[in-house]
Amino acid sequence: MFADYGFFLLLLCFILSIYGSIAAVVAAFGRHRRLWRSSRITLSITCGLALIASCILWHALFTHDYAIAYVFKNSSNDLPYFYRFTAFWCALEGSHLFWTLLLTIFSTVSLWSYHRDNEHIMPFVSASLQIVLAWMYYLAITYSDPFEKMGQAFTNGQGMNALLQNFYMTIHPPMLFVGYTALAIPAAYGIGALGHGDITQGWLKTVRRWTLLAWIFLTAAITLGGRWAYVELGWAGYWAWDPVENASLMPWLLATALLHCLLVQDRLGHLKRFSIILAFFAFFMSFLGTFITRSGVISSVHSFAQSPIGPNYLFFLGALLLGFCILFGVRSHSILPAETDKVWGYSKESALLMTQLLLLTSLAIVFVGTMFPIVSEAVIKQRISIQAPYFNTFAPYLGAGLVVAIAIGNLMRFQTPKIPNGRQIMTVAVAVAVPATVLLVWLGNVMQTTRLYALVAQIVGMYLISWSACCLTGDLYYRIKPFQGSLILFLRRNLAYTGAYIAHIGFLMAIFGFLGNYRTIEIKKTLNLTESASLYGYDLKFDGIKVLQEHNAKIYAAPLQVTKNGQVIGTVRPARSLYPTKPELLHEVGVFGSLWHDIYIVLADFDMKDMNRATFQIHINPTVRFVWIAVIIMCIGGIIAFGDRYRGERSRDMIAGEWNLK
Amino acid sequence: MKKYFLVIFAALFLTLDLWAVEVTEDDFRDVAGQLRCPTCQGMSVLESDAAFSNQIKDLVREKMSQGMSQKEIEAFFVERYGPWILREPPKQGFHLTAWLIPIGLLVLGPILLWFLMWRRTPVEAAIKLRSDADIMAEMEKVLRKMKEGGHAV
Repeated sequence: MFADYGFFLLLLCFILSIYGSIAAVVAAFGRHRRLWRSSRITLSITCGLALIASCILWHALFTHDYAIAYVFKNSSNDLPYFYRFTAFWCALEGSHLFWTLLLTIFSTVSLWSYHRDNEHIMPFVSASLQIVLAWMYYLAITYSDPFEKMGQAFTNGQGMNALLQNFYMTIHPPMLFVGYTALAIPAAYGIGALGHGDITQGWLKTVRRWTLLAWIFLTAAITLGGRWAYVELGWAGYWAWDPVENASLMPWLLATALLHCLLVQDRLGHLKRFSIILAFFAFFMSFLGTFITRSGVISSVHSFAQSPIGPNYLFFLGALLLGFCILFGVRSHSILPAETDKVWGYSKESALLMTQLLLLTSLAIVFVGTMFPIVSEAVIKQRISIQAPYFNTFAPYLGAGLVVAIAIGNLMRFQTPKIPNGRQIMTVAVAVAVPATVLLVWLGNVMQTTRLYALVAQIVGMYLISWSACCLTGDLYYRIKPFQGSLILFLRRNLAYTGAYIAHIGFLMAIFGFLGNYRTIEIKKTLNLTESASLYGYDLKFDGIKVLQEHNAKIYAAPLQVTKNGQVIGTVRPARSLYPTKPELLHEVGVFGSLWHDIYIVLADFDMKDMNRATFQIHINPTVRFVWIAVIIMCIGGIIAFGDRYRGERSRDMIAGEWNLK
Repeated sequence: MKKYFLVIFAALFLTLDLWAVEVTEDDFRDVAGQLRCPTCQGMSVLESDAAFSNQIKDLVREKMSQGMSQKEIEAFFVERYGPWILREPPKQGFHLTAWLIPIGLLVLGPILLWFLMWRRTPVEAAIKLRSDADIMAEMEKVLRKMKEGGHAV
């Protein structure tokens, strides 16, 4: 019964979005203030209606309304409450609605916040956002209708995809979607600037805030996805260069490049047009990511969300790209750089440009690696696969380049080739990095690496990382020094700088964590009852298979007692689980260990009959925890930088550029 | 005569056994890591435990113990399953573009930037900036005008 209302609400949203975008376009060109307000209020109403529609879907999931196809396909009577809530975004139709809902909410927030500083471009912003929304609502009532009905009433549903019944999967998609949709606002501001013919007073501040918000959420979401793969899929890794992982990495790379581009724009009033391009493509890539997931053009682990929605997405993506290119071609000449003298040369702005080049090169590699199989199949009719080895060929160089660029870029200053205290910082960093590397090599047990190239790569990497971290810290020291110990005073004006410092340190730490992949150990062992396996100083004793019931899953657990130096230090519980919806056994990985390495155990096979014989895949994965911690640090850095009220507030544009505020 | 044959056979077996190359785990991992698991997503046969992957792994071990090099083994599998079985595009023909684009960007990108940005030494007065003397002269002119009683600007 409620389902009809849901569909009706989405239809209303679609109609309102069309009206809103037309009103905004007319308001923009006719300079009609009331019409612009009407378009904003329309969007706010749409937001309310979309919220109600979403609540209806949630209600249906909670009350087991199997008359609705989506509820029938993705939930069942025995589904725990928690997963009933998350079933909203576990398949195509629901996640499409969720994406649209988030985009609507953010669009509404963006129209009500900072609008006074950006008066001239707001109608364009409103128009571009609502055009996208109209398209999304169109899909929600046609190809991807979450309220589609079943012919008959069922008493039980087919159940949720068992792979997604995991804690990380419940928060990974919402966070990723927040990141994706928040990127729409910078893009809309870019289009607004193109439409208006110049950027506005609050442009930089607003775009910086939204990009940073998106960046924080994307960073966290990508890692949570990796964490999910790590604990759920059982291949002992967190990143496989899967097309969908790549699709989430591409907007992240662009958002990162945009943040660095905005820094140049803030201080010098240059690279405005480049910022607009980056902002647009960041959003475009997030759409492309959604397309890749939905269409199934590229086979991937995310194939559970495929549908005929694909071609429609492709059409929209093409239209979006074409529209932007035309607009940019026609209007971009009116966006001029500020009249700043003394730019480029050996200076921070050049270093920042170099960083952007590195980030965009990474983007290009990821893009080529993701898309090339399709191109190759279309052009020469030959199927090829591009997987991890291809990306891993280039990743070390890009990583090293970024590590060096972080150090140089932070030491340099705008508009001058002189580095203040450069010699002291460099000398100390080059020297301190040596013992630091030795310490890392010793603590991380690096010398056990069997391959020479892997060993060299690790040592070089660790040296560069420690050197870079020392450079950053040296720069921070010389910046705090004049404040004579008054940290509060320093922080008050330098939150953005402090946030960046923390985020960069986090990034270096993540790279250090990635280096652990060079020295993983892996063995496969079959154990009988009370037998043990020893690896890396640990003894693992097998005590037989236990069968448990957890919520709706039957678990075959094989607890292993971990002993080190004769002392029992805990148990690992690798298991296989059987969900009512799927015939095959899923992996429940057992992870145990210290900061420096994880013992990662997969229950590869076991004797179903007498339950006292099992085969284990045992991995030693060094420094995986560093990656998780590093990402938390990066996000904290982002949040601190988000709190800065000065950056962008008095940007060079307002000092040097021409402003005719009407 | 029969004895002779037996001895020759035994000798052959022994030599074959001596020829059999000792396959280290690292070498095996290198080779198996380059072949994709046909039935899974984004994994190599090395990481996968699927039946098909295990067959391929056994075949790799067999070929390696016969002394085949990594290139030869890869060529063998490409002939059997097509280039799709490799985890990276072959470095020939059209597929070369997938390799040349990243390498080109990594090498040419910085060079291009160098010519565009770094080689340009910071230019003062890139856009017409008046010198201090000019500004003083103009201000004096304006002041004179104001003294004369007219509107300055």
